[in-house]
Amino acid sequence: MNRLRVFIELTGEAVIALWQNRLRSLLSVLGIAIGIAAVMTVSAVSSGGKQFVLKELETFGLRSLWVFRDYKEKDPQSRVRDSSGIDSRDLKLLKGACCPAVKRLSPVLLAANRPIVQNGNRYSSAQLKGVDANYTGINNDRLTMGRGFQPGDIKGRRPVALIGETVSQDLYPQSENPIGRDLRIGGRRYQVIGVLEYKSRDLLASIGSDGGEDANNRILLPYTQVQQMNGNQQVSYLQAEAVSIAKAEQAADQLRLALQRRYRGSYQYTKITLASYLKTVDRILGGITAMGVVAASTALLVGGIGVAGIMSTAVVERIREIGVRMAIGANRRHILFQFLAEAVLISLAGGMAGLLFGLLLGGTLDLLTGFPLMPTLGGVLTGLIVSVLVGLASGYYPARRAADFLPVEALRRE
Amino acid sequence: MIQMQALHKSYWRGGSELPVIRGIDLNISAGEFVAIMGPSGSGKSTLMNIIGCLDLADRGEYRLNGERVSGAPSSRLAELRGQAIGFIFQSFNLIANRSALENVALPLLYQGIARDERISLATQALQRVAMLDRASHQPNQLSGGQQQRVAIARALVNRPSLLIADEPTGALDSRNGDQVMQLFNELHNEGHTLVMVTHDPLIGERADRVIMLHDGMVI
Repeated sequence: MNRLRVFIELTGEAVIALWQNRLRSLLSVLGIAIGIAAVMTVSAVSSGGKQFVLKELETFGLRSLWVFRDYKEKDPQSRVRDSSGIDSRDLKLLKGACCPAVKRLSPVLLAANRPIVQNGNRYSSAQLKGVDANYTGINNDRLTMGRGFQPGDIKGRRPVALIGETVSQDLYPQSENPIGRDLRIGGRRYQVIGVLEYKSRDLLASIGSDGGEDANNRILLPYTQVQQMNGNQQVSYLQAEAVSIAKAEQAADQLRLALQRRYRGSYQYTKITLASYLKTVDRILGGITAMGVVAASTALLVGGIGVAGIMSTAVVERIREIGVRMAIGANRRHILFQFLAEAVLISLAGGMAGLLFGLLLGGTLDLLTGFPLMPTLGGVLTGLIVSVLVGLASGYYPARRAADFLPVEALRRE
Repeated sequence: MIQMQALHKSYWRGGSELPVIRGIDLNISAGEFVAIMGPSGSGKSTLMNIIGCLDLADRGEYRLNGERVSGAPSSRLAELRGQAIGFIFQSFNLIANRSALENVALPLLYQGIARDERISLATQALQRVAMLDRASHQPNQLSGGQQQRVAIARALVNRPSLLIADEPTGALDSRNGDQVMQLFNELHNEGHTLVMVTHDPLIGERADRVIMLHDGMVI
């Protein structure tokens, strides 16, 4: 108990010594603070960047996968080639036991022609997609108003439509609720039953990774309607949701193999999973983060060297004090602890200042750019632990030197 | 209290041995006031450092209060310095930027004594040397004589069995020196054991016994 008290009191002695050299202490605190702030900003930028990209990828559904015919395949048997290789009659099979990693599945049909979409004299350039009732769930689509497709809409081949924000603005005056209103596609009349929520894919679009479609300029129709328009039973491709992100590749392969078996190898199929994009994003951001961490760590290292320098100077200046403390009963551990405590306190104060600085910086950037810079709790804790470690590492050698003086030697110095 | 037998100590300078203490036998009893005198280079400071557990002899035996000091680990020496010995230096060696009271209380910190008790004991010690009215002054606000009295209070605060003074009046004018010596005589009369190193015969005279050193030996 008494021994513990000595070390607590020595921490107080360290605080007093630092306070008596305020300017010097402050400068070394600043060195560490810059390093910690740099490390923290890098980690915040990387996690913020990931959130940013993730948010856009979520508009496709993170467990989504696509399966479609691979048109590059060779044709060993010279069979009829102008099919998409997927037929709506395959769906029953594909939704069954063949593919346990698939949670749900929707056919997607693109209109073979580009019919005119209009409401009176208002026109839309929307892309038409035929889907079933699962689609909006798989694709992470929400409705701002109205309702989604019911199985009855699909089976009954009802002339109903879900429209994107842009379509709604193009076809209807702002004052008008589009639900229950009509629109004409290639002369046929459809009733609007729902409006799809706005989706941002600005970043993906800017790097050409939005799949070439404008998420807000879409009209979804029951796929049975589009088949009627196209005049055949074909399905352009399948979009499915895997039971988990980890099972996405497996789910896609199960669908591909089931199709290949069904058509006895007449067609080859290929797949895309969002999971593979997630991996790519992780890899790219990981690389950028690693570079940033190296740069930021260098700043921290320089800060640590600063602390080591300041502590070495302090030891030299205070040799006589060290001697006096030894003469009145301090042992080597007491001396070592006091100087180590000074270094750790500088460093910890720097760590906290750096975290605060990083938070302010991140918050400001967030406000200015809308780019989310969120430090994680783990990041904050890591910052504090790292700053303590930097203090121990940079203070150990000077403190050790102080403790290793012989009392007579220390007292002799002027 | 102090028993020394055949004590030797050398320093090594540039590869050659420089004997400083060359076989000293010495006994000092509790309650004695002893002056160690001799010309510079006679080994009196080294002897004092060994008595005060700041330094160890190379050979021979030194017992303090019956405990064998020669060969003790450095942590035990620190304990002895903190509990059994009070040091008074020629240049006072108070810690700058700390008040007289804080300076006097500092040895108690290393003994793990609680803050309230430290202040109360330090206050008593300052009172003993008539410096209580300067308790909150920093060393640079005190005269040399006052600083030395604060340093004496610091040496007394742990109630050590042995007080060691190295040229305690060496940095003081004669009036302040007299006051310090007066204080030493009082402490002696109260039963403290004092060992004082000096080269001033007038100061040495005030001790009970004078030990003369010459070339590392008692004469």
